[in-house]
Amino acid sequence: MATQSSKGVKPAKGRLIALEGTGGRSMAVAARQIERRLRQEKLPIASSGWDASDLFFQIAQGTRGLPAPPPQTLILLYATDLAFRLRWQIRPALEEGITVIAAPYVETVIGFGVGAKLPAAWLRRLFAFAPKPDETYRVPEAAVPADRRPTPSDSFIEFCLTHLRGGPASWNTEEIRSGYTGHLNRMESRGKSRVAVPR
Amino acid sequence: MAAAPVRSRRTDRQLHDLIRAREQSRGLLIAFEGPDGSGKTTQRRLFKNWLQTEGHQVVTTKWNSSPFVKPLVRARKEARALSPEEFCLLHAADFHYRLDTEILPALWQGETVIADRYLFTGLARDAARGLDFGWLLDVYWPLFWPDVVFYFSVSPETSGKRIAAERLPSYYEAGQDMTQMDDSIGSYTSFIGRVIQEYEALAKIFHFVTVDAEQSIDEQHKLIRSLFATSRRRSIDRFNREVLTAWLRSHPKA
Repeated sequence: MATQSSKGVKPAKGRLIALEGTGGRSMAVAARQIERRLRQEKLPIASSGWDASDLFFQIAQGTRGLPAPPPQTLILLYATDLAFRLRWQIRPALEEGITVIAAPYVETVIGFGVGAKLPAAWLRRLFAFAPKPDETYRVPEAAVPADRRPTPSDSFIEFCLTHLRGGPASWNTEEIRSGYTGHLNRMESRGKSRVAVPR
Repeated sequence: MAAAPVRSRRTDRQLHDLIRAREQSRGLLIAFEGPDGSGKTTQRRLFKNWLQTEGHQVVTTKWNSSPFVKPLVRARKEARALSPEEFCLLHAADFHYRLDTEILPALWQGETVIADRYLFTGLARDAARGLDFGWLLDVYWPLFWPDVVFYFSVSPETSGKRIAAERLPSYYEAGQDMTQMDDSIGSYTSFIGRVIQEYEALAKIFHFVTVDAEQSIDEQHKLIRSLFATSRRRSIDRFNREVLTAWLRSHPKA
């Protein structure tokens, strides 16, 4: 996790900012924009990204030829990675009064689960171990330029959809993507997240 | 695994009919549960041989054995790098992967599946590590019920003696992540007591068939055979429809 302390006065407890979206370079750019804004407020900042635990990297390296995991397995692996990020990156930083940008956080994986027709209530209970963010931003897919499209190596969503296409099970990945996007759209329309457009 | 979008569009009614029609020809799922040193692996092998002589096609699935997740768990166990939550979630990921890719396909094809440890192992060990039981049930949701769960009951002392006679327990097996003790045998003896307490509670909640694992190997084997002969297959339509419906949706050729 990159930690960038500034000379500002530390608040008693840090703030947690969630940045949700498909991932890739655009998420990284949006995260840097939020960082820049917060640095102007003299806040110490840290960031926590997907697959800090290397789980998904190791899967990508070592599981060729195996049957694709079902969505629930992928969600449990995301939860494992998030538990790792919380233990080593997010919670320690928050306790030191550092503002943490978690990109992605919980709503991205909930959106994936909703897209796979898993119950939202179950997904929320599963991820109840993760503290609620103070603010949530979302990078809309429409705002991502073609040359910055995320890939399976830098995006949880693309990683999952690529694996689900691998068979032998038959998943309609476009429907899953559509359900995922719909979830983030609903978050936004209900005022639970704000748009972060990468520039 | 409640429901899942797929290219095939069989209706709920069609899937329900398919499940009911498969009731008699599907395989049985038999779980062997109990603490380390309870002798369940020995009994599982004997039972499998007996089932095969009785004409069953038998498949065995072991705890933490999927080629997809096991390497991830092994590396992190060696590094002693897992928190109780991570330990729990990784084993649950392994279980769900095996359920989807090994257990359900075999059962659907009419093969008998013997599970050398089932999700109750995760529930017992993770609860012993202090995790909330309600959350653990969510981690393993939705529960796919076995037809029979044989629970091999031993005291913590017997379990400890049997393990110590064979080998040193590994760091997580001994619960050293929880006890913080350097002595793996001492830690094991302390930790396995908690695991057994959780197992005893699960045995009541989930109606395990308890086998006194302090008995001789031969006595236990005879008992298992007779208990199996009198046990009834569970209605998959009543108990496991949700899981099977979701699985069939994503496996239209099944």
